[in-house]
Amino acid sequence: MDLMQTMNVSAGGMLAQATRMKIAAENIANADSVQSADGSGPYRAKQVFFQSVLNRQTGTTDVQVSKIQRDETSPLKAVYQPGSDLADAKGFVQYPNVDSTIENLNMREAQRSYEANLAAIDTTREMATRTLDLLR
Amino acid sequence: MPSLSQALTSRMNYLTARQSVIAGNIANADTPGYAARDLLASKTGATSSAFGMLLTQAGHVGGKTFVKPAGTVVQDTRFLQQNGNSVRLDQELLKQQQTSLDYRLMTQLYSKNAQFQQLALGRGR
Repeated sequence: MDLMQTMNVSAGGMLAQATRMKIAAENIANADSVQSADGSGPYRAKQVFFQSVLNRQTGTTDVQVSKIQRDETSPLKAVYQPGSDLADAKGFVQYPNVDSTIENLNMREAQRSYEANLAAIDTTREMATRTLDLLR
Repeated sequence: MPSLSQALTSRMNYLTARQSVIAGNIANADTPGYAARDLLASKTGATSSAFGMLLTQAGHVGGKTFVKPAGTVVQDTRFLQQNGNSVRLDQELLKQQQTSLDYRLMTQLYSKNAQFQQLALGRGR
């Protein structure tokens, strides 16, 4: 049924927004992680990229996460902490390049889009219910 | 002349397809470079050649119509943002409500029609 495929599109949108929410949460949680588990310096913020793909089976335009990439270009934040083990010769410790304002906005936008997808599912479901009501 | 149920069915098919397009728009509300889409509705009695040039003699050049046929997916780039996306969530939700209401009207007409038929058969009351 066509309406079920429509619900699948919205569910894909919700999945993509949930991924974005997860990455934003990871970034915020790691805003002060000065060391990575593999010893490659401070944590670098992650970024999510969306991509629209034509579903050739159903003809619908779905959304998917094309890649999750680390932000290697934004500068790290240097904090003066001469007592730390990780401080350089001048006493500075490098902190992650996580911008809490951007992450908060990301989460807010993801939430709004998630709600819009939920509303789309609601409407589609109502249309399907109406169709089934014809049988009564 | 097409029957009423035929007309209702084709309208419901269109509304279902449009809902699918709108859901795709909402899902891609944050995708860079995605242009909002919409599905064109068919007008009553209008064929794709309704506004063409008349061919009254054999030597006449056939006119081309500029009317887009029904069921065409059109892109809407009026509200293009910096990232190449032109989806406006408020507009999509509004379109969705319209589609849903229209669909409800069609199903109600359909069941009304069925009621009339039962009445004519002497079963309904």
